[in-house]
Amino acid sequence: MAISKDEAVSALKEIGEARDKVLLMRRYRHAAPHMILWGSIWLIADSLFDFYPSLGGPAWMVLSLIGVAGSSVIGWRARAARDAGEARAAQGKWVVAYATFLAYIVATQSVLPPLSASQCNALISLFFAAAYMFVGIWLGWKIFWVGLAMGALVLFGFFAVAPHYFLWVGVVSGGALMAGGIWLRRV
Amino acid sequence: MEGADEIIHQSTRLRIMSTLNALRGHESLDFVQLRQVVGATDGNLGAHLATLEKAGYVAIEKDFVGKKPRTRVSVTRSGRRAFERHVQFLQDILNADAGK
Repeated sequence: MAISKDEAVSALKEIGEARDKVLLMRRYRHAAPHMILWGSIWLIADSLFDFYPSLGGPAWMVLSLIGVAGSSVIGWRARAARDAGEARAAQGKWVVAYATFLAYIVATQSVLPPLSASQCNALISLFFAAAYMFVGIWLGWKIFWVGLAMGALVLFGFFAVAPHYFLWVGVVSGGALMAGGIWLRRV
Repeated sequence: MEGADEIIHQSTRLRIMSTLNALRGHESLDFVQLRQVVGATDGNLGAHLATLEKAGYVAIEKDFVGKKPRTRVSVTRSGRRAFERHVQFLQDILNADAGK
């Protein structure tokens, strides 16, 4: 079977493109369950905040710890399927990420004037929307668009749906994150 | 220089093998996802998978998720070796041409 140089170039290009598609698909498949989990947490915690403001803070603390545990398990299972050594090495990363996030919140609260509950929530929500956008720039543009949608919905809720901001942000922004996760799982 | 692998070199089968070879270890891909990546119709993909399975290059597993049938495809060890040999053959063509 004779293959010309042009055919060889074209075949190698196809091989490279297929590999890139698989890498992108793998990133989306890994991100999807985390997004669905955190979207659900967002939805429950902020909806509770709207209906029972006194329960909102404790609910966020408890649910976010459940989220960290859940994300650790999801990450561990995904890595264990590929490489047990890599899984062990990555086990503590979600705990470190959570500690970093808490430190960020304490640091920002210490330099900002006292914020209302909705301002504080919007600040955190926008932080995560921006984080998804940054991650998406490198890992895959679909994650970027999910972050952008979340951020836009948070801002819209803050300015246009102020009396029920928490319900809005829980159902719509949390829902957008869940929908984004389901979308990425199907890619 | 070894010759081209005629089974792998066909365009759709090359995309199938490139996709499956990019998976790690024993990872497999759902038929629907493979179809999306490869960009083939159900019938076309099924026919090419049958050719690759007959050559021992891919393994096809069928199971059920609830009541829904699912087909998962992975590359075999001999499939990986054949694919790597074919890629090397293609690169050798370019290297030989560059050396002229």
